[in-house]
Amino acid sequence: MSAKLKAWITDRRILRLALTLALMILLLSCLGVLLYLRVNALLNRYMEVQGEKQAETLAELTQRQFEVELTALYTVASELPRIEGMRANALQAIQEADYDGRIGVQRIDGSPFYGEAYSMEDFPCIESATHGKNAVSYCPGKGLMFCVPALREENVAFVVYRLYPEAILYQRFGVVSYGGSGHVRIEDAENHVVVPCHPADAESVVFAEDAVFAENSVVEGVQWMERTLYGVGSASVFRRCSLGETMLYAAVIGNSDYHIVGFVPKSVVMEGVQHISSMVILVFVVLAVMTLSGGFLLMGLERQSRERDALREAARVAEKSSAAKSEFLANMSHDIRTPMNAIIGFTNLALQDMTNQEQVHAHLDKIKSASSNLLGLMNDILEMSRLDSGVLELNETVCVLPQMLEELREIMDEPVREKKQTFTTDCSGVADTAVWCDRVQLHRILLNLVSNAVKFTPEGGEISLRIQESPGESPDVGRYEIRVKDNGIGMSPEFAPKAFTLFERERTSTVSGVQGSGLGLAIVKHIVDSMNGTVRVQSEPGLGSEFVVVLNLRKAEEPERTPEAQATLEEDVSLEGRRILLVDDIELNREIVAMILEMEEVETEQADDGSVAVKMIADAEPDYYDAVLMDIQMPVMDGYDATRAIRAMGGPRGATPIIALSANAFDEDKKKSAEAGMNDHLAKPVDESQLVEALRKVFAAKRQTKYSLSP
Amino acid sequence: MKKRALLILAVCLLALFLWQMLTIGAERRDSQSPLNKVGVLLNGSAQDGGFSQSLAEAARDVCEEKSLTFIRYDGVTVEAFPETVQNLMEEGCGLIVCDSEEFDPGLEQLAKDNPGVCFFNAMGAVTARNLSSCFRRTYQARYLLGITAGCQTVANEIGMIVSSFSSETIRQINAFTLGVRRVNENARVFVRCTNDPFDAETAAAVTNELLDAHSIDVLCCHGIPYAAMETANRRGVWLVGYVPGDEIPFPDTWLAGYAFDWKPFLTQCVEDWRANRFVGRQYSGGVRSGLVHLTPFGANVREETRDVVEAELARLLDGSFDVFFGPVRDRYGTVQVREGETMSDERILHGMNWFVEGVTPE
Repeated sequence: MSAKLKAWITDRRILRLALTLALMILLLSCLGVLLYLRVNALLNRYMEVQGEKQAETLAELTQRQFEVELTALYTVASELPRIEGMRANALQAIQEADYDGRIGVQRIDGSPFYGEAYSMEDFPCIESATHGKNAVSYCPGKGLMFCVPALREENVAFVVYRLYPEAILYQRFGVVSYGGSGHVRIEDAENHVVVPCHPADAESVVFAEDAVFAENSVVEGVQWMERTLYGVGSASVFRRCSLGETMLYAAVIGNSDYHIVGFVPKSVVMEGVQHISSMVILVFVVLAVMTLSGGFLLMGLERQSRERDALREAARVAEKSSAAKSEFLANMSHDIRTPMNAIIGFTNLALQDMTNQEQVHAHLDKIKSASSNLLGLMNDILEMSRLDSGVLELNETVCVLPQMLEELREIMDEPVREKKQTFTTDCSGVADTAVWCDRVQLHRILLNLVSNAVKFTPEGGEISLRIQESPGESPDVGRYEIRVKDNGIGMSPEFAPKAFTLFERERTSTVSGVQGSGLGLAIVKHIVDSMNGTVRVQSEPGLGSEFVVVLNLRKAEEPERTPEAQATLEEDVSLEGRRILLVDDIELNREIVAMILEMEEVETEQADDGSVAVKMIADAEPDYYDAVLMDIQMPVMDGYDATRAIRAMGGPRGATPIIALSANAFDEDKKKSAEAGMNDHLAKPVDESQLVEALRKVFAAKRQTKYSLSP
Repeated sequence: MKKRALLILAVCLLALFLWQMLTIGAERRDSQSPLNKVGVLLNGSAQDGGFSQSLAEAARDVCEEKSLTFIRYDGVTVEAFPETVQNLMEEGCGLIVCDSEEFDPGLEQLAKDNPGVCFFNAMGAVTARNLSSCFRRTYQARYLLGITAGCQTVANEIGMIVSSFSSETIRQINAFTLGVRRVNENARVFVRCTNDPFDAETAAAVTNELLDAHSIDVLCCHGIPYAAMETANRRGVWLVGYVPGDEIPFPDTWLAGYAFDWKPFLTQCVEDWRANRFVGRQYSGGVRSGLVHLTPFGANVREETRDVVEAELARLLDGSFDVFFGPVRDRYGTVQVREGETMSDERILHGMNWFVEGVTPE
């Protein structure tokens, strides 16, 4: 799955948008369906109304037909009484009128006059005619009879009828609707079929149309129509039958007991109209598609805007950081210049008058102190870049806390003495004194906190460092609380929370007077955070501060200490008479080290490149050189490669102790040195005592080996 | 806040749209009136001891049986008719029953204007899709009574008292006389009019006057209070006429009577109406349809008389004869209906303003 798509899916806001979109589509679909159904219903109703009107028209047609029949018959009938008494003439007249042999005339008492006589029971219209009213009636099996009185003034002389036998009823009165697609029949009030919807055919017994009329759904539909038929005169309804969706329609025939009822397939009525419903669906599909596209577009825009916002935020943070850095650099600039000024100034002063040894010594002391400050400052700046990169690798080794505290005391001895302060350490509250921890980082924490305390406490102040242990989360983990307390100038409550922020220093005159980069605490916090610990400060202006660091550290086994042997070894070792090879591409550096070593009565030889050093060792006798001080960054062949080459030689030459002297003194560099085969790693500018100690250690180790190797 | 308001507005609009969409065009033609109230309008009085009473009582009975509400107005004149019908319809009547052919013109219009209401005229000759009429052929019964009277009379003087000389009463008089003359060519019918259908004293007085003036031994009354018959009864004159119910009111002098049976007609009417199958028809309400029938003869009627009456009834029943079949001559001897002809209903209703032979109006 592409990263972009994955990003889209996991973005919560996009998910919410997608959900809203889905909901909208659902809503649209529902609306669409609803509208479709409604439109269908309305179309159906429209067609039903049309059906009703059709039925009414057909009924009216039939009514006209009946009236025409009666009128025609009446005309014939009205002739009769005029031919008074002249029976023969009357008969002739009738015969002439009787073109289809269906006319009959009977007397008021029911006896025949011309043609057959029928009874009132069969044809109630005869009774009506006898009473003077035109009428129509149907007798199943006999046919449809139109009956009129032959009136003389207001008296009824005869009853004249025309009888249509069943067989030809359809031909004569059959109703044609929807161009033959509709099937209509005429029924009387008792639902007897007067005029069927198909011609009478002796051969066919059951007609398809009749079968349809007999179907349950159709019967039910006709009953439904009859509920409103007699009230409003016509009715129409849709029902599903064997022919599919069918429209039923009915209407009463005026001036009679009869009504028409018929059916027509829906498709005939619907012609073309069904497209309207399809249009509705189409419209909604289009709407849905548009909504979807709109939604996707919106999602894309959302994402873009989010990205833009993120970028803006990042830019803001970067700007802020950059601003802070600029400010820091500005401050640094001042802080760097101060010791530089001292170094330059006092150097000039010393050069001016070399004869006054005491004064020159004093100047050089000051230069020494200033250059040490400058070194510290530069270390801090380097640290800053590392903190910016964020990642801190921890190399856990076994740390013995009391030992570390002692080291700290040694380091802080001079500054404390200078300020006539008291610095006490106490780890009596620790049961498990050995822990797994990054020694360097822990040392840094302690050093930064304590040196801060010393810096911000005036002369005569008290600084204490106390470590306490309490049970940790699990039996092999301890909760170590490190408290660094001083009674110095403290910090104001507004500043306290910002103390651990990079580059932050309280802007007070007292603080400004103190040398510092504002990084110390930030570095502490960074390290503590990397160790998953906590650090906090309690402080009151004028009364002092207490820094509390809490670390959960894994307990370790105390390593065997052989301080006496170690001390003996170290004390025994002297550098007098040793020969050391100095490797550095910069002559000045070689000079400085050479001068330092010469004071210790050490002989030195110099090589200006790795390759030269390798050659010199190779050409020399084994054990000619006691040790090598190797710079790392050199052209042609760097320190690592040179070391590897030397080691590769094997034998006593290959075992020559090599100590790295490098501008880079970070953990990675130390690791690299160790990997290359170097025995130790010192940072430039080289500290005299550090160098001597390192050499002593290396020689001691060599002697041990020597001792162990000797038979 | 604004967003919420917009949302609520949108939802409301949507709801409105949905409601509209679901209800537009949903109406169907439905002008049906409620099916539980029947209105009855009588031209006469419901206590006239005559036709109107029988109709009213039958209507009430049918309504009770079918648990329908029954509203009745008496004495409705032709002028007041349309308004009274409107009132009934406003009160919710779905079926209107009335009893006079005089209402016909108004009825035609009303039926046309109110297609959801059904109308039944107990005596009428117009129909429409929602209007039925019954042509009440009381005259057939009257004819048979005339035969009874004609057979019974010894003095050949028969009296008849009516409330007015309306087309209905003339019809009755003529039918009666035709019956009398059919069996007794010598008999004469003396007719008097009280001009008051309600006042008992007048009725009694006219009766006495009539009986005093002639030696009448059979009396027929039409549309007048009971007092007339009571008077005649006391004077020992035989009676024929209309009585509600089948009991013989004057056992000594009673000869024959007729009664109406409206229930079948009205029941059919009401049932059709309630089943939405009311079709306007013209009913012929004579002896053939069972609307009118003779009540049991009195003790004094001889066997021969009964036979003759039965024979004539049979002729009426099989349709081969009706009362006004020709030849019919009027009082002045003019042939009003030739032999082999008969009067049309139209003429019977509106064209009988003459008396047949044998009638002596006084």
